[in-house]
Amino acid sequence: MNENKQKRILKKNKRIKKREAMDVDITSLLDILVILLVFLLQSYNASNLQLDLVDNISPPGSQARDLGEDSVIIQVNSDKEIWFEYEKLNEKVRDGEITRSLLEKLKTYQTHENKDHTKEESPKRVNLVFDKNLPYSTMQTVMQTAAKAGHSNFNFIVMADHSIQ
Amino acid sequence: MIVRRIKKQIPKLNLIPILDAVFIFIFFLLMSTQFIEIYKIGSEAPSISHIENEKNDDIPLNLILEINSDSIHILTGVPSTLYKKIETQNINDQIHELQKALYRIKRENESETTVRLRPHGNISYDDIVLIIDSARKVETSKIETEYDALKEDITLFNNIIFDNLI
Repeated sequence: MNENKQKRILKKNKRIKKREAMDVDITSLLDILVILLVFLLQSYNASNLQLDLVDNISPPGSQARDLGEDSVIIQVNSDKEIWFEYEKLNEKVRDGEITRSLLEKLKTYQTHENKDHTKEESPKRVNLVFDKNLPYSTMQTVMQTAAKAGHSNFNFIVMADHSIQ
Repeated sequence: MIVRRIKKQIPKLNLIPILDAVFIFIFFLLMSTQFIEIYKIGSEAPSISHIENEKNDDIPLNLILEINSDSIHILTGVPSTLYKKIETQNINDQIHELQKALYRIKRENESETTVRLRPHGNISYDDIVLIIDSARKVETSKIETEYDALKEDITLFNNIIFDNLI
Protein backbone atom coordinates (compact mmCIF):
# COMPACT_ATOMS: atom_id res chain seq x y z
CA MET A 1 0.00 0.00 0.00
CA ASN A 2 2.73 2.42 1.07
CA GLU A 3 4.77 1.56 -1.98
CA ASN A 4 1.87 2.44 -4.21
CA LYS A 5 1.44 5.75 -2.44
CA GLN A 6 5.12 6.56 -2.84
CA LYS A 7 4.96 5.76 -6.57
CA ARG A 8 1.99 8.04 -6.97
CA ILE A 9 3.74 10.87 -5.19
CA LEU A 10 6.81 10.39 -7.37
CA LYS A 11 4.69 10.48 -10.54
CA LYS A 12 2.97 13.68 -9.35
CA ASN A 13 6.33 15.33 -8.66
CA LYS A 14 7.52 14.42 -12.13
CA ARG A 15 4.41 15.99 -13.62
CA ILE A 16 4.92 19.16 -11.59
CA LYS A 17 8.51 19.44 -12.79
CA LYS A 18 7.32 19.28 -16.40
CA ARG A 19 4.90 22.21 -15.92
CA GLU A 20 7.32 25.04 -16.47
CA ALA A 21 6.32 28.55 -17.56
CA MET A 22 5.66 28.57 -21.30
CA ASP A 23 8.08 30.74 -23.21
CA VAL A 24 6.11 32.46 -25.98
CA ASP A 25 8.19 33.93 -28.76
CA ILE A 26 6.70 37.38 -29.36
CA THR A 27 9.33 38.57 -31.82
CA SER A 28 7.11 37.99 -34.86
CA LEU A 29 4.21 39.76 -33.15
CA LEU A 30 6.49 42.68 -32.42
CA ASP A 31 7.53 42.80 -36.08
CA ILE A 32 3.90 43.12 -37.17
CA LEU A 33 3.25 45.79 -34.57
CA VAL A 34 6.22 47.83 -35.73
CA ILE A 35 5.00 47.66 -39.35
CA LEU A 36 1.52 48.72 -38.21
CA LEU A 37 3.04 51.54 -36.18
CA VAL A 38 5.00 52.87 -39.15
CA PHE A 39 1.90 52.72 -41.36
CA LEU A 40 -0.22 54.54 -38.80
CA LEU A 41 2.45 57.16 -38.17
CA GLN A 42 2.64 57.83 -41.90
CA SER A 43 -1.08 58.36 -42.21
CA TYR A 44 -1.36 60.43 -39.03
CA ASN A 45 -3.04 63.78 -39.61
CA ALA A 46 -2.60 66.59 -37.11
CA SER A 47 -5.77 68.34 -38.30
CA ASN A 48 -8.63 68.65 -35.82
CA LEU A 49 -11.17 68.27 -38.62
CA GLN A 50 -12.91 64.92 -38.55
CA LEU A 51 -14.83 64.26 -41.73
CA ASP A 52 -17.02 61.36 -42.82
CA LEU A 53 -18.09 61.66 -46.42
CA VAL A 54 -21.78 61.14 -47.19
CA ASP A 55 -23.17 59.08 -50.09
CA ASN A 56 -22.40 59.95 -53.72
CA ILE A 57 -19.78 62.51 -52.90
CA SER A 58 -16.30 62.57 -54.27
CA PRO A 59 -14.26 65.69 -53.52
CA PRO A 60 -11.75 66.80 -56.16
CA GLY A 61 -8.03 66.11 -55.92
CA SER A 62 -5.76 69.04 -55.23
CA GLN A 63 -2.16 70.01 -54.57
CA ALA A 64 -3.26 72.05 -51.54
CA ARG A 65 -1.63 70.93 -48.31
CA ASP A 66 -3.29 73.21 -45.74
CA LEU A 67 -4.80 71.26 -42.87
CA GLY A 68 -8.53 71.60 -42.33
CA GLU A 69 -9.98 73.19 -39.22
CA ASP A 70 -12.91 72.10 -37.12
CA SER A 71 -16.02 74.04 -38.06
CA VAL A 72 -19.54 73.57 -39.36
CA ILE A 73 -19.59 71.11 -42.30
CA ILE A 74 -21.88 71.39 -45.32
CA GLN A 75 -21.78 68.57 -47.86
CA VAL A 76 -23.45 68.58 -51.27
CA ASN A 77 -23.40 65.41 -53.33
CA SER A 78 -23.67 64.87 -57.09
CA ASP A 79 -27.49 64.81 -56.84
CA LYS A 80 -27.39 68.27 -55.20
CA GLU A 81 -28.62 66.84 -51.88
CA ILE A 82 -27.43 68.75 -48.82
CA TRP A 83 -26.08 67.53 -45.48
CA PHE A 84 -25.64 69.98 -42.63
CA GLU A 85 -23.40 68.47 -39.95
CA TYR A 86 -24.28 64.95 -41.25
CA GLU A 87 -28.01 65.69 -41.08
CA LYS A 88 -29.68 65.37 -44.47
CA LEU A 89 -31.89 68.32 -45.36
CA ASN A 90 -35.22 67.86 -47.13
CA GLU A 91 -34.34 70.44 -49.73
CA LYS A 92 -32.01 70.08 -52.70
CA VAL A 93 -29.86 72.93 -54.02
CA ARG A 94 -31.73 74.90 -56.67
CA ASP A 95 -29.24 77.00 -58.59
CA GLY A 96 -29.71 80.72 -58.07
CA GLU A 97 -32.13 80.35 -55.15
CA ILE A 98 -31.16 80.68 -51.50
CA THR A 99 -31.64 77.30 -49.79
CA ARG A 100 -34.01 78.19 -46.94
CA SER A 101 -33.54 75.11 -44.76
CA LEU A 102 -29.76 75.50 -44.93
CA LEU A 103 -29.99 79.19 -44.09
CA GLU A 104 -32.13 78.41 -41.04
CA LYS A 105 -29.75 75.68 -39.87
CA LEU A 106 -26.77 78.00 -40.22
CA LYS A 107 -28.52 80.79 -38.35
CA THR A 108 -29.48 78.41 -35.51
CA TYR A 109 -25.91 77.13 -35.38
CA GLN A 110 -24.61 80.68 -35.24
CA THR A 111 -26.85 81.70 -32.34
CA HIS A 112 -25.65 78.60 -30.52
CA GLU A 113 -22.06 79.45 -31.28
CA ASN A 114 -22.44 83.07 -30.17
CA LYS A 115 -23.50 81.87 -26.72
CA ASP A 116 -20.21 80.02 -26.44
CA HIS A 117 -17.74 82.82 -25.80
CA THR A 118 -14.71 80.59 -26.20
CA LYS A 119 -15.19 80.43 -29.96
CA GLU A 120 -14.06 83.15 -32.35
CA GLU A 121 -16.58 85.78 -33.35
CA SER A 122 -16.35 86.84 -36.99
CA PRO A 123 -16.05 86.02 -39.84
CA LYS A 124 -17.51 82.56 -39.35
CA ARG A 125 -15.83 79.65 -40.99
CA VAL A 126 -17.62 76.92 -42.91
CA ASN A 127 -16.22 73.71 -44.37
CA LEU A 128 -17.68 73.06 -47.80
CA VAL A 129 -17.53 69.55 -49.22
CA PHE A 130 -18.74 69.49 -52.81
CA ASP A 131 -18.78 66.66 -55.30
CA LYS A 132 -16.19 67.28 -57.99
CA ASN A 133 -18.74 67.16 -60.83
CA LEU A 134 -21.00 69.87 -59.43
CA PRO A 135 -21.27 73.00 -61.56
CA TYR A 136 -20.16 76.35 -60.20
CA SER A 137 -23.77 77.61 -60.17
CA THR A 138 -24.57 75.07 -57.41
CA MET A 139 -21.44 75.98 -55.44
CA GLN A 140 -22.28 79.65 -55.82
CA THR A 141 -25.80 79.13 -54.42
CA VAL A 142 -24.46 77.29 -51.34
CA MET A 143 -21.74 79.91 -50.80
CA GLN A 144 -24.27 82.72 -51.10
CA THR A 145 -26.54 81.01 -48.56
CA ALA A 146 -23.63 80.54 -46.15
CA ALA A 147 -22.45 84.13 -46.60
CA LYS A 148 -26.00 85.38 -45.96
CA ALA A 149 -25.99 83.52 -42.64
CA GLY A 150 -22.66 85.16 -41.71
CA HIS A 151 -20.37 82.29 -42.65
CA SER A 152 -18.29 84.08 -45.24
CA ASN A 153 -14.99 82.34 -44.62
CA PHE A 154 -15.06 79.27 -46.86
CA ASN A 155 -12.87 76.22 -46.55
CA PHE A 156 -13.18 74.02 -49.62
CA ILE A 157 -12.38 70.48 -48.60
CA VAL A 158 -10.29 68.62 -51.16
CA MET A 159 -8.49 65.30 -51.32
CA ALA A 160 -4.75 64.99 -51.60
CA ASP A 161 -3.80 64.21 -55.16
CA HIS A 162 -0.22 63.11 -55.61
CA SER A 163 -0.64 62.37 -59.31
CA ILE A 164 -1.29 65.94 -60.42
CA GLN A 165 1.51 67.27 -62.64
CA MET B 1 42.28 16.71 -16.93
CA ILE B 2 38.60 17.01 -17.61
CA VAL B 3 37.44 20.38 -18.77
CA ARG B 4 33.88 21.14 -17.93
CA ARG B 5 32.08 23.14 -20.48
CA ILE B 6 29.61 25.46 -18.90
CA LYS B 7 26.75 26.38 -21.19
CA LYS B 8 26.46 30.13 -21.39
CA GLN B 9 22.81 31.08 -21.29
CA ILE B 10 21.90 34.00 -23.55
CA PRO B 11 19.92 36.48 -21.49
CA LYS B 12 16.41 36.90 -22.88
CA LEU B 13 15.21 40.44 -23.39
CA ASN B 14 11.93 41.19 -21.68
CA LEU B 15 9.84 42.66 -24.48
CA ILE B 16 6.55 42.79 -22.62
CA PRO B 17 6.76 46.42 -21.33
CA ILE B 18 7.70 47.72 -24.78
CA LEU B 19 4.85 45.70 -26.25
CA ASP B 20 2.45 47.35 -23.81
CA ALA B 21 3.67 50.80 -24.83
CA VAL B 22 3.42 49.97 -28.53
CA PHE B 23 -0.16 48.72 -28.07
CA ILE B 24 -1.21 51.93 -26.34
CA PHE B 25 0.47 53.97 -29.07
CA ILE B 26 -1.30 51.97 -31.78
CA PHE B 27 -4.68 52.56 -30.16
CA PHE B 28 -3.98 56.28 -29.95
CA LEU B 29 -2.94 56.40 -33.62
CA LEU B 30 -5.89 54.28 -34.75
CA MET B 31 -8.29 56.67 -33.05
CA SER B 32 -6.70 59.77 -34.52
CA THR B 33 -5.96 58.55 -38.02
CA GLN B 34 -8.00 59.58 -41.04
CA PHE B 35 -7.59 57.15 -43.85
CA ILE B 36 -8.54 59.74 -46.45
CA GLU B 37 -6.08 62.59 -46.84
CA ILE B 38 -8.13 65.77 -46.75
CA TYR B 39 -6.94 69.33 -47.01
CA LYS B 40 -8.56 72.71 -47.42
CA ILE B 41 -8.46 75.59 -49.86
CA GLY B 42 -9.36 78.78 -48.04
CA SER B 43 -11.41 81.52 -49.62
CA GLU B 44 -13.43 84.48 -48.43
CA ALA B 45 -16.55 86.12 -49.75
CA PRO B 46 -15.73 89.53 -51.21
CA SER B 47 -16.46 92.38 -48.86
CA ILE B 48 -16.47 96.16 -49.11
CA SER B 49 -14.59 98.08 -46.48
CA HIS B 50 -14.08 101.79 -46.07
CA ILE B 51 -10.67 102.99 -44.95
CA GLU B 52 -10.31 106.67 -44.20
CA ASN B 53 -7.24 108.81 -44.82
CA GLU B 54 -5.32 106.25 -46.75
CA LYS B 55 -4.12 107.33 -50.13
CA ASN B 56 -2.25 104.95 -52.34
CA ASP B 57 -0.91 106.07 -55.69
CA ASP B 58 0.00 102.56 -56.81
CA ILE B 59 -2.20 101.18 -59.55
CA PRO B 60 -3.80 97.99 -58.20
CA LEU B 61 -3.18 94.78 -60.12
CA ASN B 62 -6.80 93.67 -59.75
CA LEU B 63 -6.10 90.23 -61.24
CA ILE B 64 -9.26 88.48 -62.43
CA LEU B 65 -9.60 85.06 -64.03
CA GLU B 66 -12.77 84.87 -66.06
CA ILE B 67 -13.37 81.16 -66.62
CA ASN B 68 -15.60 80.14 -69.48
CA SER B 69 -16.20 76.67 -70.87
CA ASP B 70 -13.92 77.30 -73.87
CA SER B 71 -11.51 79.99 -72.65
CA ILE B 72 -9.89 81.69 -69.67
CA HIS B 73 -9.59 85.47 -69.78
CA ILE B 74 -6.85 86.99 -67.63
CA LEU B 75 -7.89 90.53 -66.76
CA THR B 76 -5.78 93.14 -64.95
CA GLY B 77 -6.02 96.79 -63.90
CA VAL B 78 -8.80 99.23 -63.09
CA PRO B 79 -10.91 99.25 -65.18
CA SER B 80 -10.17 95.67 -66.19
CA THR B 81 -8.35 95.14 -69.43
CA LEU B 82 -7.61 91.85 -71.14
CA TYR B 83 -4.06 90.68 -70.39
CA LYS B 84 -4.32 87.31 -72.10
CA LYS B 85 -6.93 84.96 -73.48
CA ILE B 86 -6.25 81.24 -73.25
CA GLU B 87 -8.36 78.92 -75.37
CA THR B 88 -9.28 75.88 -73.32
CA GLN B 89 -10.99 73.02 -75.09
CA ASN B 90 -9.56 70.89 -72.31
CA ILE B 91 -8.35 72.76 -69.23
CA ASN B 92 -5.73 70.11 -68.40
CA ASP B 93 -3.90 70.76 -71.68
CA GLN B 94 -3.74 74.53 -71.24
CA ILE B 95 -2.94 74.69 -67.54
CA HIS B 96 0.80 75.28 -68.16
CA GLU B 97 -0.06 78.18 -70.45
CA LEU B 98 -2.12 79.72 -67.63
CA GLN B 99 0.65 79.13 -65.10
CA LYS B 100 3.20 80.74 -67.40
CA ALA B 101 1.08 83.88 -67.72
CA LEU B 102 0.39 84.03 -63.98
CA TYR B 103 4.07 83.51 -63.20
CA ARG B 104 4.96 86.44 -65.49
CA ILE B 105 2.35 88.65 -63.74
CA LYS B 106 3.71 87.60 -60.34
CA ARG B 107 7.27 88.51 -61.33
CA GLU B 108 6.07 91.99 -62.28
CA ASN B 109 3.91 92.36 -59.13
CA GLU B 110 5.79 90.56 -56.36
CA SER B 111 3.69 91.93 -53.50
CA GLU B 112 0.33 90.92 -54.98
CA THR B 113 -1.27 87.86 -53.44
CA THR B 114 -4.90 88.06 -54.53
CA VAL B 115 -6.65 86.56 -57.50
CA ARG B 116 -10.36 86.93 -58.13
CA LEU B 117 -12.13 84.10 -59.88
CA ARG B 118 -15.15 84.65 -62.07
CA PRO B 119 -16.24 81.19 -63.25
CA HIS B 120 -19.17 80.63 -65.55
CA GLY B 121 -22.07 78.70 -63.98
CA ASN B 122 -21.44 75.47 -65.90
CA ILE B 123 -17.75 75.10 -64.99
CA SER B 124 -17.22 71.99 -62.86
CA TYR B 125 -15.78 72.17 -59.35
CA ASP B 126 -12.97 69.85 -60.43
CA ASP B 127 -11.83 72.33 -63.11
CA ILE B 128 -12.12 75.25 -60.68
CA VAL B 129 -9.88 73.45 -58.17
CA LEU B 130 -7.36 72.75 -60.95
CA ILE B 131 -7.27 76.45 -61.82
CA ILE B 132 -7.01 77.44 -58.14
CA ASP B 133 -4.04 75.07 -57.75
CA SER B 134 -2.34 76.63 -60.76
CA ALA B 135 -2.98 80.13 -59.47
CA ARG B 136 -1.64 79.37 -55.99
CA LYS B 137 1.61 77.61 -56.71
CA VAL B 138 3.88 76.88 -59.62
CA GLU B 139 6.81 74.57 -60.03
CA THR B 140 9.12 76.64 -62.21
CA SER B 141 10.96 73.61 -63.56
CA LYS B 142 7.75 72.49 -65.25
CA ILE B 143 7.11 75.68 -67.19
CA GLU B 144 9.30 77.43 -69.69
CA THR B 145 9.58 81.13 -69.08
CA GLU B 146 11.98 83.87 -70.01
CA TYR B 147 13.05 83.84 -66.35
CA ASP B 148 15.50 81.34 -64.94
CA ALA B 149 13.96 78.11 -63.80
CA LEU B 150 14.53 77.91 -60.08
CA LYS B 151 13.37 74.31 -59.88
CA GLU B 152 11.30 74.98 -56.82
CA ASP B 153 7.68 75.76 -55.98
CA ILE B 154 6.85 79.45 -56.06
CA THR B 155 3.75 80.80 -54.38
CA LEU B 156 1.80 82.91 -56.81
CA PHE B 157 -1.57 84.19 -55.67
CA ASN B 158 -2.59 82.49 -52.47
CA ASN B 159 -5.60 84.62 -51.67
CA ILE B 160 -8.56 83.27 -53.66
CA ILE B 161 -11.74 85.29 -53.91
CA PHE B 162 -14.86 84.32 -55.83
CA ASP B 163 -15.85 87.51 -57.57
CA ASN B 164 -19.46 86.83 -58.48
CA LEU B 165 -20.84 85.87 -55.06
CA ILE B 166 -22.65 89.11 -54.32
